[in-house]
This record gives sequence, C-alpha cells and structure tokens, in this order.
Amino acid sequence: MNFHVMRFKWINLSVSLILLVGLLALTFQRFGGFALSIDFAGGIKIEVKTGDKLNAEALRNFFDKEKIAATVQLVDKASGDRVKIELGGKVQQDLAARAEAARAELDKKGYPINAIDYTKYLIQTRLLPANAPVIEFSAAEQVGPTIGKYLQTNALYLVGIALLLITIYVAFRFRLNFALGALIASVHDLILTLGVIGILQIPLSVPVVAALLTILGYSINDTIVIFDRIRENIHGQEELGIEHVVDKSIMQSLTRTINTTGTTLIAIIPIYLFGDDSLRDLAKVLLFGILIGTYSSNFVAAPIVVIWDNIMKRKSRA
Amino acid sequence: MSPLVRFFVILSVVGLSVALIWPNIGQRTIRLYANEQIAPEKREEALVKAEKYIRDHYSLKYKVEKKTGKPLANPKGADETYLSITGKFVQTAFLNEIGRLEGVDPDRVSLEPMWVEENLKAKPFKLGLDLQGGMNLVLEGDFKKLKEMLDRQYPADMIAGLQKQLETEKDEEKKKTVKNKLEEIKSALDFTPQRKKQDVEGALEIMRSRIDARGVSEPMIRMQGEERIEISLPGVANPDQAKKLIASTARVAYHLHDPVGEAGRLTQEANREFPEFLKQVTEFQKQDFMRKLETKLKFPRNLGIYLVYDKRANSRGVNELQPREFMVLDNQPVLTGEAMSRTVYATVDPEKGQNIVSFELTASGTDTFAKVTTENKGKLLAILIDNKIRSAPQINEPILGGRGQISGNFTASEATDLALIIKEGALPVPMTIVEERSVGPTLGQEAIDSGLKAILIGFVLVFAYMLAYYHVSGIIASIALTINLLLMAAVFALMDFTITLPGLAGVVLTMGMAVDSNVIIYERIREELARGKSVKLAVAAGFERATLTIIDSNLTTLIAAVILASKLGVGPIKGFGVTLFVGIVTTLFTALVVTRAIMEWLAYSVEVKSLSIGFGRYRKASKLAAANGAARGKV
Repeated sequence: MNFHVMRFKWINLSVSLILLVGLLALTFQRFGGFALSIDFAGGIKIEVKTGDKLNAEALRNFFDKEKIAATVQLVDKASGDRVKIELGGKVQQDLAARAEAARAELDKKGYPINAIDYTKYLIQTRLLPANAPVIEFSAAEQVGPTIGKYLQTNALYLVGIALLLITIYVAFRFRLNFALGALIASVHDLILTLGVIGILQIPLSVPVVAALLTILGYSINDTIVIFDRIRENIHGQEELGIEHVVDKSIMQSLTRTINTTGTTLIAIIPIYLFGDDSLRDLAKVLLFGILIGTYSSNFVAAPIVVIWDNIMKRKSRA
Repeated sequence: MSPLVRFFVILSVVGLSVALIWPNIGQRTIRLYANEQIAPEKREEALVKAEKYIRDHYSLKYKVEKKTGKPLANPKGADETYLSITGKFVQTAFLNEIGRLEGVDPDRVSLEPMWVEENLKAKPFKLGLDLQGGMNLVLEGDFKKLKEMLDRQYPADMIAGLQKQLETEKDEEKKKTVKNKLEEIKSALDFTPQRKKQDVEGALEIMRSRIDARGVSEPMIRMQGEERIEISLPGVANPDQAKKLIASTARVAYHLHDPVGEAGRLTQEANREFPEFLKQVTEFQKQDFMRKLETKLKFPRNLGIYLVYDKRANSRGVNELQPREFMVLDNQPVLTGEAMSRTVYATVDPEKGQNIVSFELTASGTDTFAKVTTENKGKLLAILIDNKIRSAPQINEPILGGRGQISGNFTASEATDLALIIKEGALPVPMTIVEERSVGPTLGQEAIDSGLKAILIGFVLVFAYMLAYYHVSGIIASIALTINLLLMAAVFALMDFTITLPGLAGVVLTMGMAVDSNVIIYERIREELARGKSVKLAVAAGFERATLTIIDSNLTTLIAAVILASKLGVGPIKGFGVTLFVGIVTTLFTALVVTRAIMEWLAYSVEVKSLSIGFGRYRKASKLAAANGAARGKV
C-alpha cells in the first residue's frame, strides 16, 4: 500500500490552519469565548446528598425565590443521588455582602461570615424545616478567579519552557527542520484542541489543563517516532527526494500509528464512561486531543520538515 | 547477562514493588476508638453505632469485631474497648469517613502497622484532596479588623494624653519612655505593604507550627501573593475544627479582680442582671448588653464586665463552654502571653488530677509577676483565654520563681492546643478565609473507585486489543504493562507522592506510551520477519532498531515531564509532571528490559521456530525464514 501523503501537504496544512482559526473564531463569535469552570471564573460549588425536602426541583425553586442565580444539577453517584449547585463569581460577591449584612444572625447559629457558609445557612434554615438535622455537604468549594489565573500563566510559562527545550533537543538529535516541525505540530495540537474545547463549550478547569498537557506529551512522542523513521530512511536515499522518504516513513509507521492510537483511545473510553464528573471532561478532551496529536504528527510535522527542506534546497541552488 | 540473571533481576524488582505497595492491597486492620471526651456510656453507644454503620455499608469489604486493648499511640495507657476492622485495599478515604462518625475520635482511627511498613519504608499511598477528601484554604490578612483591635488598645485620647505628657514632662528619663511608647504605637498603627507582608508571613509560621503539632498528614502551607496564605490539609476529617485551630487568634491574659473593692461590689450588681443577659441570643446583642450595663452602673474607665465560663453538658450530652456569671476585672491585663517563655506545656496537676498548662516566664515577665502577686495578695487573678474567664484563683502568696500554671477545666487535648497557642503566640493579624475547597471522604472514595474501575477496564481492553493483534506477543506486552503499573505504584509509595485526579490522567498516558513501546518493538520484529529473517535475527534486529526510537521519543517527552515536575510547576501541573516522569522511566525499563528478556528468552533459549506476533504475511514468511535468509545472503 502506498499513499503519497506529501502530495497533499499544502492541503493538509491549509485545512489545519482553517480549523485553527475557524474553531477559535466560532468559539468567540457564537459562544462569546470559553466556558469557564469555577477554577477559572470564581464562584461556589456545593454538592449535597438529596433527601426528603432536598431535591433538585425544590432547590431550583428555592433559589428563584431567594433571587439567587444558581444552576442546580442532579448527579448520580454510587452512594446515592446528589445535587450539584453552582453559583457564579458575581453571585458569590453578592452573597458575601448579604452574609455581612446578616452577621448577627449567622453568628448566633455559628456560621462563619462568607458566601458559601451563608448559602449553607440559607438552605439549612429557610428551605428545610426548623428541626431538620444539620445537613452534611459532601463537597464545597468557593474560589476566586485567582487559582485559574495563576494556573493559566504558570501553565503557559511552563509549556513555553518545555517546548523550547524540546525544540533544542530535537534540533540536536535530528535537524533544525525537524525541530521546527515538532514545535509547530505541538502548538498546532494545543490550539486546535482548545478550539474543539471552545466549540463544545467544555468548561476550562484544572483537569482540562492536565488533559492539554497530556496531549502535548503524547503528540511529541508520536511525532518523534515518525521523525525517527524518516531519519533512518534518509540515509543513502537522498537522491529519491525527501518527499518520497517521508511518504515511505509514514507508511511504514502506519500500523504502529493505528495500534498505538487505538490502544490509547480504548484506555480512555472507560474513563469517559465511568469516570467522575471532572474526569469525564478530561477524558473527552483526551479523546479528540489524541486524534489531533496523531493527525499532526503525520500531516503537519512531517510536511513542515519537507517544505523547509525544499526551501533550503531551492536557496542553495539559487 | 544470562537469561537467568535477567529474570532474577526482574523478579526481584517486581517482588520489591509488590512489597512496597502491599500496605495498600494486603489485609489490614483498622482500630477505631471512641472519643475520650464523651461520657463512658456514650462511648459504648458510639462504638455500637459505628459497628452498625460499617456492617450496613461495607459488609462485603470489611469485617468488624469488638476488642479490648491498649491504645496504639500509648502502649502504657489503660485498656479500652475498640472496634477492630479488617479488610483489604484499605484507603485513607475510608479512615476519614469512619473518623467522622458521631462519637468517634478521628485522631484515634488508625491502621495497625504492617511489617513491610516497619522494615521497608513502605507507606500507604498519599492521596490528594480530590481523592481522599480534605480541605484547601486560602486565608487573607484582615487588616481592617486589626486596625479596629489596635484602635481599642490605643484609643485616641490615650495617644493625645501621651502627646501632652511628652510636651509637659520635665524628667528626661520619663520623657524618653513616653517617647518610645508613642513611637511603638505609631509603628503599630502604620500599615505599609511591607509591614502587611511581614505580618502575614508571621501568621504563616505560626499556622505552620499549629498544624505540624496537630500531626496532619502532608500539609501544604505557603504564601500566595503578598497578603494571602494557602493551606491544604488532605484527609482532615473535621474541616470546622481545623478551620478553628488554624485561624484561632486566641490570646491568653491575666487580669486582676479585687473582691473587696469596687470590682467586687460592681460584680454583685452586674450579676443581678445576669438572667436577663442569658436571654440575649446573638453575640452582638450580648456584647451590647454588657456595654450598656457598664454605662448604667457607672463603671470607672479602668474596669469592665467579663464573663466566667465553665463546661457543662449541653442538650446533646457533649460538654461545652457556657457562660456562668459576670466578673468585673481591671481592663488592663497584668500579664499576657508575650511575657511567657517558650517553655509551655500541657500537664496534669498532681494534686487535683486536672489538666493544666504549665509555663515559665521570661525575665521581665518574672519581675512583673512577682511584683503583681506581692502587691495584690488576697485578690483574684483571672485567667482569660480569648476574653473568656476560664478560672480565677486567689493569690495566696507571691509567685517569685517565674513559673505559673493555667487551670480551667480543660480536656487533655484542649490543654495541648492551648499550650501550643501560647507557645507560638497570637497571630500578628487576624486571618479570614477567602477561598475554601473541601471534599467529603465519601466523595473521595467514589472518585477513587470510579477512577480505578476506569483504569482497570481500560487495561482489560488494551489487553484484548494487543492479544487480538499480536497474539502471544500481545500477552507479553500486557505482562510488561502490568509490571509497569506495579513499578509506578511502588515508586509512588516510596516517594510519598500525592496522587490526584490529574495524576491518574498521567497514568493513562503512561499506559498509552508503554503500549506504544511494545508496538514499536513488535512492528520492527515483524518487518524483520517479513524480510525473511529467522526469529533469532529478527528479535535481535528488531530490538536494536526499536531501542533508539523508544529512547528518543521517551527522552523528548521526559524533557516536558521534568519541566512540569520541577519547582516551577504548581499543584496539579506538578503532580501530572511527576506521574509522567515516573511513567517514562518505568516504561523504558519494562520495554527495554522486561519485554526484551522475555522475547530473547523465547528466541534464544526456547528457540521457537515461529513467533506468534500477529496475522498475515509476516508469520508465513517467518516459517521460511532460515532458508530465505540464507538464500539472500546479505540481510
């Protein structure tokens, strides 16, 4: 089987570029940007086991009545149904102010003065009957947008350093044009994956950042395997032309590419199916991210090696 | 290396790994004791309830029985009834869960140590907040409140008075003292960014020692920006209690009460209103009531109403601090925690058998204390903790030795906490909680269960895929993968690494990359077989060619892992980086040592004629291998 991938190199690169720009443009144009989890936007998240008076419907009505903008979602867990309540950063500030105003009342009942404890207090005292036992919240988070911001800058910075070092390493072990290919493919994968995250409106969160890092690692690994093949084939075959060598290398690696991607994907699918809420987002991102990573090794990294090589040849001829 | 030596090396590595992770998977016994601070009959009841809880929820996983023995932490202590819970795959999340049951002391729910833990430094896995439950706090210096406190301590008229005194004072010596005092006040009231940062850093150090002394496992405490502190306490069973201890601004102070003077008279008058006071509900109303009462009774400026507390059982049968009566005290303390040296410890009064806190004073503190106790014989010396009078012993004789003790009907752990707070001093600035994440242990356990289930199913699917595609060689790859996961787990156990959800994602990536190494090797061998080489030659050539590819691709990813795992990384990013790093190293080992050992053993020692490595022309070719190879001459 012989398939001349390099014949379509410009088409591939154009498609990638259109997707890169298109998905991000669509994200901002249709959705006004990325969906943000409270890690990035700030806000409150509470999980509580459903009970007699405590169910999604009742909570929704309750928050409507109290004029608090909240999303209430049912999540089913092994140990019984739970509701997840999420409040945005603005609502959080609003609640903090209300808590301050109700300081005396909160003090009396032994609640600390802040937005999340005020929310708990409201549920306990106004939704539930007076003699109801104190409800235990299975998870509670209240964060400002600082963690997300910190993470964002830190992650970008680290990825930047890692990419730089990888580029140097690849340039040293292979050639400069390989390094360029690896670098562009990695950046391509990150941006394209972000684009898909954007149009699917998967909220950016800590696990999603972890998934992006995973894709980066996977994509580089994948790219180097192809490069290694090209490096091996290039010796003594230079007269055949770089395009031919790259095509051959990609075809030789094809079974490996399919098997590796296949096994990795089937390892991720169960995480998507059985994983916890936050793991599910992570798995979703990994699923398409790894496909993107595989695509870019063959159809972005390799063409760039070829194009660069051609440009250099033309220059030296001229 | 001969195959025998190789297998020996591999087996010892695997054996060691199993031993290291044994505390997590083997049969373990948990001991659960009731809370010491509740009445004996309630303790019995708590144990019965806990036993029922475990029977109801975990009857398949754990066996429970009642036993009697000495506490684990204190082999000299008295015999006590406890629950002995045995089961496999015990995780800290479960300990946290049962530690929260009513009447159970979370500090006394612990695992009986195993021999591997004692001899091999094997430890149970450390799990992150998201997996085992726990809390993460971000606290911010509340300088507004600090200013309020300081304004009360140094009222404007007091400063004005000092100012006036400075102008009129003739005596140089006294003038200097006043000047110093004014400067001290000025600097205390001056909130520069630098000073704020210093205060918050001071608070951090104090919180660190409070937490360390509490024996919280793997706490993380650090500055976040200039005015914030981030604290994470994995596995903390009782978030509210932890919040209290960390942010406590408890101050200890001694105030005088003169029972025969003005203070004694006012105390009597004030106490007539005490029943009325008890009707006030909120803290605000109570404070307001007391201040109004002071005005009503025409209190002199130097005296104030304070509350005497004692411990009584509340409606639920748990002892709780409750106000008993008023006592009028000098507003100015004669001695505060600052006058105490760092020799402060909780002990038991040999005569009365009460828990007390014993302390030594600093040099100047000794002088003051001696002077005060000499001059005020017969008066009461009230001990206030957080402005609550906990005891008020009479001064019978001067205390000259620079030692003292605080009594106040404490439990053992309260005395320990108090000693700690005195030793470390009050926080330089009150801290308020601005961010908080807490995960209940039940939820953490579910995250572990679902995460493990997902990894396990993924593993089985990968196994099936490899078996279907590469046949017997697929099984070898799966053995390598199993060993890989085992090694990773062992390294995590050894290096005390905290496993989090993003870390588990790193494990999945490792699974993918580990399989990739095998795929690369197998594809190379198949190519060699397709060229007509014998099994021996194909395996040798396959590994030779694949090794470089595997090392190059893994080393490149390793660069990324090192950067992410380095000091530069934060929290989840760092965790992910570490997982990736460990995974790459174990992958290199399993692919280049384990798989290779097995394949070469098959090729050289067993001398298989055909290698079961998948369908198609390769296999057919391999049967013709020797002849073809010879016929072609050069390969």
